[in-house]
Amino acid sequence: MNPRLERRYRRLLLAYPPQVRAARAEEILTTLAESGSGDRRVPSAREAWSLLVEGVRARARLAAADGPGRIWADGLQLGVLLLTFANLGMLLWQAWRYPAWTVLLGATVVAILRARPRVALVLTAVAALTAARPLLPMRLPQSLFGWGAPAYGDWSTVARHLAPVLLLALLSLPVLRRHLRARAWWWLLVPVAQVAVLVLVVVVARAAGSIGLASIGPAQLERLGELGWTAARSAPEAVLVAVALGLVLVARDPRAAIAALVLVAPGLGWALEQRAWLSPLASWYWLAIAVTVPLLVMAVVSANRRQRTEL
Amino acid sequence: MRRQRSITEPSYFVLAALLDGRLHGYGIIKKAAEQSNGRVRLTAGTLYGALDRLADQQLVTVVGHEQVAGRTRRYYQLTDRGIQLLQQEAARMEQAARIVTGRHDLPAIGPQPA
Repeated sequence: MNPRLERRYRRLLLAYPPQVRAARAEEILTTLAESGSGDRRVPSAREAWSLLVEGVRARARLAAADGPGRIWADGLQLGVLLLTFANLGMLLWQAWRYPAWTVLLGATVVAILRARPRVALVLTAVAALTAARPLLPMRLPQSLFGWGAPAYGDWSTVARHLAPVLLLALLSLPVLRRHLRARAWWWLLVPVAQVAVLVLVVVVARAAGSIGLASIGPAQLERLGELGWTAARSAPEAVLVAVALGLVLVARDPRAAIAALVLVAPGLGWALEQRAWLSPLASWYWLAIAVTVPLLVMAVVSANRRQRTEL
Repeated sequence: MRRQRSITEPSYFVLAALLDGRLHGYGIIKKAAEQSNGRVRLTAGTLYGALDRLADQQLVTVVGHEQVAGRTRRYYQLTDRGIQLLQQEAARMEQAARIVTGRHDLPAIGPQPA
């Protein structure tokens, strides 16, 4: 096998978990070389696809070997992380108005990444309480809770901030907590990307209003920002749902589907309540999500069963 | 209750390839293609995925390795459990096939009506 082709096959083998790669990589390369796949310039599409799929399947199998607790801990950790990114992103375009809130959710992201569910639980509980303060029967001390955080007057919006509290309470249970692992710091690139998208939206909005920036007032700019931001949220959600379904069907890995469920389900209540005010495009989007949720549940159940029984 | 395991076609042909004795990865690919009249063309990814799952269930085992041109080659062999599962699966498929092949009154296939 020529060195260039070997390098390409080794790159594909990165789909496998490190321990499987250490045990198997040389043997797989031997077999590829012997089966005639070594005479080519680039890996065949068939071999490449099968290495990628089997690599992801090996990751799922390794996780499943630790028991269902590991699968749920991984899925919920990813889900609550994405949900926190989404919540952070929703108000990032006016972060200067809510500095305390931005810091609170930023710290939550770090606590989730470092596998500290109880710390993250306290932080999200404070965030949820702050967001829900108009709905609470008692008045919270304004000096403590009123500064630098948004407040919502409807439960369907607050649900998006209560969901992480519930999920982190689950992840704090010993049965799940012992399976939690610290995640790579590169996840912090997600909020960086969110800021980049935000800057792009503002630049585009300003360019659109370049006929005279004065003609585009702060209210319109805010509205444009909100529209761009809604699109910036739904597109990654749709991609995640598609990837999650693909991972379940092809690689029998239910973890991304659990995460996708956690991410999209809390928004459904809000969409149901706001249905009269949704734009046609947004209505179609939420209808697609409503159809996807039961599909994701079925996918999780089926992947768990196939993982256990299929040889 | 212990769940019944279902065996995929690639895994079935991997097990069947080992009936005549130990084989290495490429040997299994060749044998599976030969025994299925070229229908089952295992890729390296599929082969080692199947071998890992089968080894997890102690249906196959590694019985040796050698170095070929500086690369590792492992040899695999069926375990008693593997032989037993293969026999059960073959009997199940035979019974299913008999429903059709055992009939002498199969409707004749003629030209399709327009």
